[in-house]
Amino acid sequence: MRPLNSARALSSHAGGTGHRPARTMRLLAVAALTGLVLTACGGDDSAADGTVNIAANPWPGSYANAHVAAEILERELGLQVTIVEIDENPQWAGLDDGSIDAALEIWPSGHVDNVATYIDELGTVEHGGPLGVIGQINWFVPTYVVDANPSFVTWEGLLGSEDVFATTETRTSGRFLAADPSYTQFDEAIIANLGLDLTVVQSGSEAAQLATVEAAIGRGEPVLFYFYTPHWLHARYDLTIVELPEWTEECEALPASQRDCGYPPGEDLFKAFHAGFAERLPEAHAVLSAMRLTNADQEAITFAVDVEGQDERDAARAWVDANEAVWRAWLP
Amino acid sequence: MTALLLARPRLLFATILLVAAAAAGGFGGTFPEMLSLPFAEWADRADAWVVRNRATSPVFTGFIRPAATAAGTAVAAATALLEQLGWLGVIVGATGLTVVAAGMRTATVVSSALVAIGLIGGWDDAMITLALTIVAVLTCMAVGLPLGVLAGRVHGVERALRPVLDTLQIMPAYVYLLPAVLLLGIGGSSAIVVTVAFALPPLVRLTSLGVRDVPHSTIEVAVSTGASRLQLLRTVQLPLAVPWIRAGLNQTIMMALAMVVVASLVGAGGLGREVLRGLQTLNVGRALDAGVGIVLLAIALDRATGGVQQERRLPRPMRMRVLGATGVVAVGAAFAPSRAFPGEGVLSLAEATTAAVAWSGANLAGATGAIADGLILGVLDPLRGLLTVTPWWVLVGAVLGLGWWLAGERLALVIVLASVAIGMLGVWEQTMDTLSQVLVATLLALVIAVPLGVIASQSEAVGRSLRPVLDTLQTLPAFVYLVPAVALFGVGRVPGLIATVLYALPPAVRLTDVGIREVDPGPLEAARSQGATRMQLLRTVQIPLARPTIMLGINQTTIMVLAGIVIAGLVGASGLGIETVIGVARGDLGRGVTAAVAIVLLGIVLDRITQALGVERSLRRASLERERRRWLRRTA
Repeated sequence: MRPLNSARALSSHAGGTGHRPARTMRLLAVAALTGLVLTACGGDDSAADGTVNIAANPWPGSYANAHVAAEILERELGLQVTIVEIDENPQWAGLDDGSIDAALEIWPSGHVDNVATYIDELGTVEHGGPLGVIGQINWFVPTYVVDANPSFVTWEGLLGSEDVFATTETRTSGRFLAADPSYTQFDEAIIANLGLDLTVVQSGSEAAQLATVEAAIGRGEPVLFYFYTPHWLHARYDLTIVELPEWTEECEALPASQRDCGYPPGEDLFKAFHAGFAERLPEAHAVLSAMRLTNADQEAITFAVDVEGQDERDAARAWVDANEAVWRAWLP
Repeated sequence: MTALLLARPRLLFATILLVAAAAAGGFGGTFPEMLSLPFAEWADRADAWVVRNRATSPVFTGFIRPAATAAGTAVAAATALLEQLGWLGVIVGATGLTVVAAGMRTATVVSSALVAIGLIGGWDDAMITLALTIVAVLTCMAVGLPLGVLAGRVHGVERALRPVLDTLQIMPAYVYLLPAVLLLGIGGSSAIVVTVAFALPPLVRLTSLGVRDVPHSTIEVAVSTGASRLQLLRTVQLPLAVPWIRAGLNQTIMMALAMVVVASLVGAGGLGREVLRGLQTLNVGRALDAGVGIVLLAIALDRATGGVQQERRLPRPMRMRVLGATGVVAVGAAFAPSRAFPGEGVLSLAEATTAAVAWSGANLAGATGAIADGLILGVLDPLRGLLTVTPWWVLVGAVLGLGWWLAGERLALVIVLASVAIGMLGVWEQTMDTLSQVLVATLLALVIAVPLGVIASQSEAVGRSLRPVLDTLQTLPAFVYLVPAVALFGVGRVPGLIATVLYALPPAVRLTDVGIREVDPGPLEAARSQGATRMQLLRTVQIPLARPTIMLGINQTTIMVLAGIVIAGLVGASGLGIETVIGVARGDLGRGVTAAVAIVLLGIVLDRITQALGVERSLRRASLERERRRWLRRTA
């Protein structure tokens, strides 16, 4: 705004010459601010060199990994760690251009295309080895639903009885409660191709899905939903898997819209790094390459956060304090 | 009938287009599949190209990358500067600058807002958000002012820009994310680009209006004294356009702040990310604290930039002294050892809010469940059913007739073109789903807002106490409303609907209030002297005369409702919203971009129809006049 006003300001100012002190003050202020900007910028450059950007995807396990890694890198290597909160698909663009150094929990089933493009074809992303956690996606119902309807242990048993899961929103068809929209999901295609009378209702976030599931369990109502292990939910409620047609390589190769099988068994979750990460910060790269967690580790940390209400970083710190022997082996 | 159509080529074309498209599908209920475009495939192909050429193509290496890097560096520098200044430096600096630019009273508001941010406990996040906003607004100024001046002086530029700006302004914030993700990926630079794109239109538009608004006589006087074009611009047009530019800048700042929150979905940090995390973890308190921080930041920025002309400024030497002292103190504070805000978190609302929501969830479940069921069974489903069961061409034909009757053949043509395009995108059903939610939410918002506005206009006390509430409601990002709505109503269309109604209330209340207040006193006095009661005055004089302004409020409410319903996809509302959410979140760009284009088309139709409703056919004025009123009201 100032430049536009200056015409008027200058003309009103031209007549007088008695403002010397003011001008000195102004010069002083400008000089001081310039100096400040320079110091601030200088400070930033030195920090940027040692900053590790680790992606956290919006599920508890991913946060647990990121905070454990951040705690160790900061404590042992004196590095600064930024946790970048981002969905699992968009994070590949970040891994590609280096704005993200590491993603610690990638579920292979949802990223066949990304692996082919970024790791195999372009080579801008490096496969970071297994995380050690075994993931499994399934359809679940609370066990009391199976007690009342024993056939519900497989999808064929649902045929014709889908209305057990009906809600106001879905009317006569049953409700299938989907996960956070960013998660890998093929349920719309699976439902259509298996001829199930289910309507997919999106949750928007894992928290909203959990709230809906917990509310249903609280009222003893039937609820059918997408879920996965490892997760603390299984420690809290008795859940049963609804078996889908067995996953096969042929089925995996089909276009997403023709999918008619369940999710792959026991996925070996893996890590991915920006290709330039190893060169920029070799020690950090070595630690994250060697990092391994178990399902039990993740469950313990996420239970502390989501059920006991601990801060994410505090819970990770507690795990790091208690498992020094484990992570000492990751250090170079 | 034939004669009528022949005399109106656009209407004729629209009708032929509609009939032909309907005939292609044998006049069936659903949109003919043979006309559908593989639009999603094109978007996916573009995405694949970008992914493979981001590192090598000159488009990226020569232009997009450097620009993105520059934006990222600027944000980092601004953040570092604010961090270096520390809380004391920022507060002293902001207060001093506001004293100089605006005056003492405004400066008090600004400093109180900043202190409150610290006390709530979001200082660091607020500074990240502020840095993003500053960089975005400066970029907007660098791009927007020259563009605005150019558009103000060259008619052709203005004509070419107008449809672009119109479209940009209707586009819901969320939709901006898709092309940004496509071209730039995720991160601070992407956040800056979407924010600039979103916040630019008002500055360009109002600068151009301001330059064009200079009376001819003034220009002629200047020209007759021998001023060159450049001199004319510098000494006459720009100074006289300053109030307009200021209004535009103020709008741009507010929009940038709003967008910074949405941009957290593509990697922007700060308060926006806190709101998003609050939504992701259903932590109402966390979201509310961050949301209130955004409101306070908005108040500070709004007053600092909008209050400039209202107060009597300090005398110039005094201003210089204040400026100098501010600089010295701020720099001193920058080297102060203590960085933490004293009493940080004292005013946090998180615990109380979370407890209140938990209590409501436990005790009001029956009531909220009944409301949700009622809305779905009683309103949403029947309307959606009606819209999807009616053959598409019957629906479009009816709206075409309405558009023609309201505003003539041009609107009729826009409606048909947009509808056919939506059909060709293959998302007719989802669009009708979204439309049903938009109509219900708009209706609910208006049923609440218009009477509230009438009451506010009748009582100074109500009006005054309502204003801060409306300011807050309007500044609070739509995300924040979603969090308690989900906690109370679960997932689906209802929480989105309720959040949207709250989010979209303010403009309708405000414009009803302003419209009635500003009714020409002449007819009012005449009616009063004839012994009309207050109710009669309201019914026969004030409301009819305020109609154009009230309709303007309805227009803005509708556009905000559309934006809200799109974001409601984040909590599971079906329709186009969830498609764009999946597009952004799951990286399914084809799906997302298709839905985004349909949203923009739906927005254009809704905008044009509600605008047409506000303008009497016989009284239609030049578009300049209409546009000016629209902006004046919006800044009111």
